[in-house]
Amino acid sequence: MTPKRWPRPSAGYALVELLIAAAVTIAVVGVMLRMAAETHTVVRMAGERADLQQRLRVAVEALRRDLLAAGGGPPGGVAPGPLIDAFAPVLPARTGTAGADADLSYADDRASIVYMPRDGSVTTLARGMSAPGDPLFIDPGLPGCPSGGLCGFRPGDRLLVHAPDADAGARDVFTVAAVDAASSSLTPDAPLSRTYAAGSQVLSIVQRVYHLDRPGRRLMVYDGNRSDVPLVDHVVDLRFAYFGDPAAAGATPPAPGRSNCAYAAGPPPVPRLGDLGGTALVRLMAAQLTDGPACGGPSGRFDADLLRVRRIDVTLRLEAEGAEFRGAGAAFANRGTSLDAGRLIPDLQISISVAPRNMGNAGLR
Amino acid sequence: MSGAPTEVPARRRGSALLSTLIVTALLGTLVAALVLVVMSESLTSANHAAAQEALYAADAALEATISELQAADWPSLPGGFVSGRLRDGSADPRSPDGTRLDLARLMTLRQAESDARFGALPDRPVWRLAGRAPLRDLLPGLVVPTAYLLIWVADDPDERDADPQRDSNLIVLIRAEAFGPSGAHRSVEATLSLQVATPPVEDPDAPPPPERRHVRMLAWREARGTM
Repeated sequence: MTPKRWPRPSAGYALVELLIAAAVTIAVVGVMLRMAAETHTVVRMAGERADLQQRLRVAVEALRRDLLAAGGGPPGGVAPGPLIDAFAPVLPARTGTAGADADLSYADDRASIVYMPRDGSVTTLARGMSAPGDPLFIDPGLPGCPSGGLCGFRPGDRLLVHAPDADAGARDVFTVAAVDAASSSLTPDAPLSRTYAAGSQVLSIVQRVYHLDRPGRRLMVYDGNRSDVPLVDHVVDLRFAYFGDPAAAGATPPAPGRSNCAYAAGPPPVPRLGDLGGTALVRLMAAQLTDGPACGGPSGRFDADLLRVRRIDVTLRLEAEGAEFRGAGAAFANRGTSLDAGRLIPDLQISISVAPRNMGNAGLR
Repeated sequence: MSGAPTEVPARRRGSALLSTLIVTALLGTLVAALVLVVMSESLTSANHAAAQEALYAADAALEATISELQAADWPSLPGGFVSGRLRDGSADPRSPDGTRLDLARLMTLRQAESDARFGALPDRPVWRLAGRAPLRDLLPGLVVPTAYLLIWVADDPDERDADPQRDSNLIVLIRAEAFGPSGAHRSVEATLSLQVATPPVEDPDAPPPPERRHVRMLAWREARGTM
């Protein structure tokens, strides 16, 4: 047998052979590229879906954590108990030093939450203030107040001062500008809205304002002072809904013999809030949360119906980040560029119901 | 066709194999990335769900304990309360993923964390395990064991009676922990007070009406403890 002999390379190719070879190569490479592109798209879509889920988890976890803790007050000290005994710890508005909404306003795409942190301190004013710009002289020797320093309060801390059982809802949140251990005094960074009497409670506070930046499509979280940062991107909708105890006595009554925005003086105290009927929680609409009676001091007034809130529903809607994965229609809040139905990632919407644990006992004292 | 072997010049060998290997590597890399994304997403989702379930299981244990405290003897509660609903007799408690729960070690950790927070004073909370059971003991219809629950009780730190085993101001601390699958562990802590009201006597000849007792939650916190 003689081996088959190939033509020598120097023999060259005919033009037809070159064209056929080029066509076959182009076809094969095209198929390969298409397969690779398809696989790449599938991988990108999987990543995009995972990112969408992850952003949703982050947003829900943050909202859930803060709403569950909303209204948490001092567990010990002179006047232990939830903050809802004194004022509404969740407001349907933006509060804080920058861009605060007007008192008694309502917006369903934002909520302000306050609670005392687990490692926070609490004490009372040792003597009354004579002017709103005065330093706050505190009692550093009370239970709930760590012995080191001025209850552990330091410049930059966010504190809340309020007068339990007096002028219901009157309160101020401020940042400590300076502390003076010698005189046991705290200097706020700005004058308060009013003066507070001796015995008013001073405590560490966490303030969270969740709001939707619609143009930027971002869920923002504001600390009430200087930090207003995006928590999650590509959030296209955020709604809060409030559900309250229908009983007229759904707010915590004042101390015996006293009255406040929710009760006229007794005995027993007479509720100023209307009975909403039934025993199941009732959705509180915007009109009910803005029509009074109004609680609070010179600033930070709020509707007394917020003292009967027991449950808060949050609806969040997020979209895929890449416009190439969004299309047209009701499934997309913002139109994308994709024309291929197989490459669409619809907006993801979720609703959660949170019963703030520190707001469930209001109405009982 | 002759049976003679075809002799291919060296410069023409292996181009098909090389192309195939390149394409296979490319597609393999993409598929591996896809599998990685899907697997990590599944794990993240499962862990998140387990953590959420553990939190709500711990809160359920707390609520169950609060309902028991309604009729309990509060002065002896820090030193003597034993849950009637969370009473697992097993000597070897395990979380749903099979991890053994070392109760002695957990007790030491709990106390150390508490002492770091409240200081080692005579009236500091001294934690005691008052109940433990799988979640299905609270929810008998539950088929899958989703959490193992622990209930700790202590006196509040504001008392000045120098006896952490006895409550004298009707305020106690309760901590509920839930251990779920995949290492999920969540805790909630509550400060509870007992409110006792004596109804007014309307008929002096009638027997006195029973006092009304109500357990009030002064503070609820999600605790971030160590395990």
